[in-house]
Amino acid sequence: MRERPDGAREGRLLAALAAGDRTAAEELVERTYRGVFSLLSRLCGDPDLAADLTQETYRKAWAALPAFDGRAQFSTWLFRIAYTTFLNHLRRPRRLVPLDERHEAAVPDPAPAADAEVDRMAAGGRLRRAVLALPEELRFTVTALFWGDLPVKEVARHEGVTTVAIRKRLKRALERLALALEEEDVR
Amino acid sequence: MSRLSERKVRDIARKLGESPSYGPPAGLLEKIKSEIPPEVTVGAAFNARRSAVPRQRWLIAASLVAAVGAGLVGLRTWESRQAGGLEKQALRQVAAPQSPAAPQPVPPATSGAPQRLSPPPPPPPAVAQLQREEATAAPVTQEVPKPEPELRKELDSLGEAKQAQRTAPAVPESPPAPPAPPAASSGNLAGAERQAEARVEGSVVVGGVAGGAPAGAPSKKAQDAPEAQPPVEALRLDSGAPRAKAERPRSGAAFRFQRAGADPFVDTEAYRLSTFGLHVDTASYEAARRDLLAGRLPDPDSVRVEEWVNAFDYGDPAPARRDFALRAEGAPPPFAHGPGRRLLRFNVKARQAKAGEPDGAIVAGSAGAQVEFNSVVVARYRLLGYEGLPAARPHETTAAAGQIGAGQSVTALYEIELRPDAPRWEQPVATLRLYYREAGGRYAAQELRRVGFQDLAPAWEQASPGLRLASLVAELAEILKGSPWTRGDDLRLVARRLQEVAREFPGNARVAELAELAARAARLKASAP
Repeated sequence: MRERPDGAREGRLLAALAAGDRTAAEELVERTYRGVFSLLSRLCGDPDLAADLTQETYRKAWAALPAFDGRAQFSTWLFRIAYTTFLNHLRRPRRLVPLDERHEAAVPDPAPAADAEVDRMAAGGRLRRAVLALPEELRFTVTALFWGDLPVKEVARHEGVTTVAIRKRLKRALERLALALEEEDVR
Repeated sequence: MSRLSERKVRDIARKLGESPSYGPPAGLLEKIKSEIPPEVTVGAAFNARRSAVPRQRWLIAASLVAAVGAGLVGLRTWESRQAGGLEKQALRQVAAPQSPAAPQPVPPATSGAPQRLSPPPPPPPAVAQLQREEATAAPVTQEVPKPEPELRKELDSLGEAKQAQRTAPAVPESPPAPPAPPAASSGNLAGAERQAEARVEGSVVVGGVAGGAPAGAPSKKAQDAPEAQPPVEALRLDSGAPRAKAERPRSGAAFRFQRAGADPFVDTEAYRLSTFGLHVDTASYEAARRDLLAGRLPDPDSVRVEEWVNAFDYGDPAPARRDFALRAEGAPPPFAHGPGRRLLRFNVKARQAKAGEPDGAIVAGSAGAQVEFNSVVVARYRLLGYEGLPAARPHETTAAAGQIGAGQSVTALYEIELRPDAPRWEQPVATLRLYYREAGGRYAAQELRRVGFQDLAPAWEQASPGLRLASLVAELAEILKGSPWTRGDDLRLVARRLQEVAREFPGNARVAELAELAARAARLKASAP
């Protein structure tokens, strides 16, 4: 069981980093990389790929750190980058496929694309596929709470909604997941 | 939901919690550490926030100490007054011959006072001194409560005196500040705060009221300057340091403006949510209009892009049945600023007043707008204007989020950069959400409008007249403001395009005048040293 992110400690490390203490960056990595890797491995089901994406996540984080304002915890912010990095990776191969522009608006939600892509992955369970097939809002909530181990309050703060809204999203997501897995069982 | 389903839902939650994860492979930590860049920059917003927290704690602690201290001093004063009054009464009794009809002093029902009720008889000189004191300082002993308006006047004059003390060193030998322009003195709380702040600093802010902010979580925009762009420090003119003030505005007015700076682009992978305020003043445009009509260029610090953009009606239709109409569209910007750039225009318009409703009746007691960018499609974005304003919190449908009256309309512009390999199907580019609660209503509602690729015009010339006009208004404002994002853009070309667009708004004298003002600004700029 990995440790819960310590927001106060992260804040102190970032302050040290801002003051030019490079070892603070190393400690930040040490404190967060297990969580990032754990999330990515649960998302993609492939430890090698998860390791690559973890490295990519940190590369993006260093580049985007000037934008970090400290409203959410560093680990929450890092989680979002890791999550988006995974989604972007998932969609990368499909970008090469041409499509008639007349059909651009046919499917409003990006989730089916993610689902189809993940389907091709060798590893991965039914639950993971079902999670990835959720609409973005619900998918993020489930992954942040269960696979990112983030507190509801932090997710709400980062998403710009209330904790009640996050709980409602979670309820909807779990119902959908139950339904999806039930339908799969019937088939 | 049936009991079986409920159990299944709980089962799903348990499985999610137990879903297996791998341990990180050996060497991963070292690889990540080796990629830490030699110099890592932490956001100025984070530093400001962090330094603000201890300061806030000190302020709270100091306030508590001051409050307790004031309470103690007040209590002692009250006690001494009570005791003093009783002593004086007792002395009077001693000094004056006792009359059988004279009423006996009634001791107050306070603890502590009775011990002082029976002082030893004072010597006669003290009585004489007391009587002299009473004769010369009668008002002090006669504590007649002042009527409330008088107290208010005193407080106001005290406040003015303090303000004069504070402002005097800031603006030496300056004429008294004129009243703020009418539009700037709206009843909005945020506007009042800004004005108050400006008054303390010896300047008057002509400015809007809306709270514009970048991401849902973040409040300050990221520094993500593109290549061939000025460094971030140059972009964020007010970052880190106290806000710069123009020493003497070019417009010749006696007030000064706070420089808002220009916000940089925000990386959507870090922050994909952005909010903008629904209350936007137009005072900045009106002030600039007066300057240009008088043959002067406006003070760059006075130009607020969002106030210019919202000074015009883009012909967005009011909703037929619902309370709000949301509109979203996009096109390439009028001037090429970089590859993949698009300009998005969002408009929120409230319904007209219903029959029997007073003018400006409240449609929503509180409301806020939020834009979510799809990070798969959009690499980064910037909100035009709204710099330095407090973050709107759209999900908090409280009064702080802002009220919307009937017929009210607000337009926000974003410049976005599409990813070069962005998938052009299935994907929304951005989603506009309006959270609101009816006046007195208990539940919050939400309106939503998605922008897809189908909503993006292939060329600026093919965009709607509203989008073209809005983009040119923003362009003009940004050039006059000296924004680094429009550096090199030709004001004469803006003026020419505005004249063309004005023809599509027949009968709209305001747009026609703007085209003329832009031409005038171009001439003034060309002749400026």
